[in-house]
Amino acid sequence: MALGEAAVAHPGALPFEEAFPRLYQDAYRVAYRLLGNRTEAEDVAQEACARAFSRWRAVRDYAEPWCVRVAGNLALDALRAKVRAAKRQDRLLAEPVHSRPAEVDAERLDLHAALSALPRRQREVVVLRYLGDQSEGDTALLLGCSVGSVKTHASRGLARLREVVER
Amino acid sequence: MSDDAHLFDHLDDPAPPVAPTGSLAATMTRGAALQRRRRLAYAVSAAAVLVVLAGTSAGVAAVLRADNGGDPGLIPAVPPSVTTASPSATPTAGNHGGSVVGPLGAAGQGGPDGSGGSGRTAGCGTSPGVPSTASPSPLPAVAVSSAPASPAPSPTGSAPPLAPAPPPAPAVTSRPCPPTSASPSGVPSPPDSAAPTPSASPSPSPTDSPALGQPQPQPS
Repeated sequence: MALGEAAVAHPGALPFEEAFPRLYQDAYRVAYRLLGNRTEAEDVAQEACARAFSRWRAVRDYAEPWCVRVAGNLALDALRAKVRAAKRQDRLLAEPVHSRPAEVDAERLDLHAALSALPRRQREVVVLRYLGDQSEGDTALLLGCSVGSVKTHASRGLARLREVVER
Repeated sequence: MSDDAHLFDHLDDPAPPVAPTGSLAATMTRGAALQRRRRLAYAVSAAAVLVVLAGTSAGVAAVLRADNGGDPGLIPAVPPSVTTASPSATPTAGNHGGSVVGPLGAAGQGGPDGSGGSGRTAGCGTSPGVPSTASPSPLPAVAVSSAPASPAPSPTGSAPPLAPAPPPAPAVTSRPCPPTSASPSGVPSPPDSAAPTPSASPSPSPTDSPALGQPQPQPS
């Protein structure tokens, strides 16, 4: 495969300086969809890009889905930490006022709960496909499975996600 | 499928920010720091693994050295002879083989494998260095015995107490034992059974072995 062809097919094959705006944008989108907070989403996007840079030689061929995946995991971790902190605060108070962080809306919390309830593979596929807007081919390349497997995990994960969200 | 593709579009930021100009440098700095930290962690864990391996090997070497440290020049004991006397072997025959062999085979020990000394195995009356095997010989003792009219001294083939030691002969080392006490049939051969005791006749022939005429090696 020629170098120019690879660069067109995979933006991650570019130097990091050239791929950075695209990576940042994708990571920010996933983070904001999960967190709903601009500042936190920017932090998550920057951290994901920094991790991509720290191992750029290894991930440059699929840097975009890799960065989306890392941003999704970081956002889920941040959301989980928020929920845990809110529960801890409720325990400290004499009368629990609410058991969820005030700055996160209910839909995102339901999304977080639904994603946390999914099996790991299905969660990764759902985050990459529907929160990160990655193609099935890129998702399969990153996860090391076939496109058919990605389709299966995506449909099953989405069905369970809908059940949880509509409940 | 197109609906699924835009399932979470309503969660998007209406005005997403572009990458700030200074964020690239900050991102690269942070990435370089992460890379340094990862390499340092690899180096530290590799060094720890090496230290553990070195300590383990040193400990194993010390244990092995302690096990062999008693007498490094000591030759391990020769395992006991694989040959055992058949049930027909009488204890007296074995005792004879061990006790009477004195001048020839360092009485009480028989051979280097201890045959004849304990009375459990048939003493061949051979000198040390002769591997005594009590394996049953297909040849009956009488068939090759060139002993004169005097009866065979002992079923065990042991020499009389005062038998002179013939000059050493290396060819004896591969000589099989007389089948007297280790006979598989359990029935002693006629000449052996006819022999009353070793003291009945001080025959100069030390053994009743097939190689009767061959000289016996001197015990060193």
